[in-house]
Amino acid sequence: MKKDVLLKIENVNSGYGSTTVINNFSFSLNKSQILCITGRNGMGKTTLIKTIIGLIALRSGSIIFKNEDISKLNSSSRSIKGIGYVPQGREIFSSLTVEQNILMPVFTRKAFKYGVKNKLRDIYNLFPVLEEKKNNNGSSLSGGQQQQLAIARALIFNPEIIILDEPSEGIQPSIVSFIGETLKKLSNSFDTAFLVVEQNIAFISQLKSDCILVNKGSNVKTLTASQLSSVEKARELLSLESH
Amino acid sequence: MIMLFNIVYQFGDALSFLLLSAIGLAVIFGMMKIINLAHGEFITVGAYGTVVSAKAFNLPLPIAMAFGVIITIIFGLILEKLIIRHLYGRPLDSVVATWGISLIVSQSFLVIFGPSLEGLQTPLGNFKLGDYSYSEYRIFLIFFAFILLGLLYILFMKTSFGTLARATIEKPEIASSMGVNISNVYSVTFAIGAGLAGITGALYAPTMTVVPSIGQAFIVSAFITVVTAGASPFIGLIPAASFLSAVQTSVTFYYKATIGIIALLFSVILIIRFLPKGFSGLITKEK
Repeated sequence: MKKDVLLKIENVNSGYGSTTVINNFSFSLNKSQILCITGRNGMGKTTLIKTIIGLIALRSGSIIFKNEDISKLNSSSRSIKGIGYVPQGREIFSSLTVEQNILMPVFTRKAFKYGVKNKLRDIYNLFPVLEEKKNNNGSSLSGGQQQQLAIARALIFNPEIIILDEPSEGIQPSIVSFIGETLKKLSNSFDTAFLVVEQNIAFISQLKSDCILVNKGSNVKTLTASQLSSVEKARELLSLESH
Repeated sequence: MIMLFNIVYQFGDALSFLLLSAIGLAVIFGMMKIINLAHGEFITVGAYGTVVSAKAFNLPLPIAMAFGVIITIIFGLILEKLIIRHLYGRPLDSVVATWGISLIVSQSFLVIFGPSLEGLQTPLGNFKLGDYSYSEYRIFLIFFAFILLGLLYILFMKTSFGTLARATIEKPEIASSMGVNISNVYSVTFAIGAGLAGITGALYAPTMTVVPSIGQAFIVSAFITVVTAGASPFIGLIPAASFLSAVQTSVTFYYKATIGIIALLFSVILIIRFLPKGFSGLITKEK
């Protein structure tokens, strides 16, 4: 069975000012696949993600999403095409309520007014703590709750792919594993694909996904899910510092 | 009794003047953080738009006012596209640029329309209580100021546009990556601020002599009210304006108008010193 390619990155170069951070980076991701990207700090993981979603300009190469080259589009048009983003540090809008944070992406999508109630219901079932606090300000949540909110904000418009930047950073282990189970559930039952930048090896191993190792802005190697099945093996293969 | 009504009337008049001076600036400076020194000239455009269209086309006053507001919105949109959009996140540069705009606009009005326009009659009538005569229009302005603020609060705090505007202003890049067309949101928000300043100009046009520097009468009041209102202008504006006009009215009542203005400015200094987050900081902390 041939799998549908959802996102294809080919020979991507990008960076800030005169510095090149990402060198000839290529990979592809299938529909409903989970793929991790790991590497030490400063190796260009966040730069790569920001290049894919359009917050950093591409210098050369191509970004193909659903068989269309999106590299000329700005970040808001890329999001409208169906790319969800969960930024590093969550970046919750502190002046909005929890529910306004979740619904915000819907307000910019004219076509997606129908079914938003049901989608919100699904999200509250997935993350009950958000329903309890739906009228609180975004800034009043704890780190783990903010992470759930950031994922909810990406889920609300049914994107085909959600890109998460360090979702486990600064969050207590029980919530990290809850988030890991949630991502697996979503990829199975809703066909959502996930691209997860992560340094937490237990979390990568929990996702049972392939993992790209990044070094100095290049794709060094891809390890398969079976190679990473145990945390000890994964730690050895990815040769990262333990957390 | 009459004395009490007199004080309440003076207080309401000062309050509505502060609120209406500040309302457009609350959006452009309070929310968007652009130190708009041309705020007074937006008010000027609204006033001239009203008076000139009323005279030239013999329009009834409400329609002339609507015309003045529309012209101010168009003026704001053009300025945003040409100049202001390059200054988001550059507050000091915005000071210089908007000051320049302010000079150009007021001098252009002087060149085109001369030193003053033939004024309009103040609408509505007067009524007498004892020895004093009161303008019904000024009482209307007090109610209108509160209604306008209420609508603005609903627009920015309760509607989907308001949610997008606040998200965009807080974190533009993230809002964009969630699908928001941030350049449209900025334009529309700025146009709303300009339109509100236009409303202020249109409303006060029939009560004042319309001169090219008419905007200068509003700009100081506008800034001190927005600054004392604090970080959440729509929450802080009414308490700030109430406090300032209470100070001004009571001091003016016991001494005279110039002392009232001095007391007003002095109380602003005290507020900034002891309540650096303004009145809205006081309210949101209590909540």
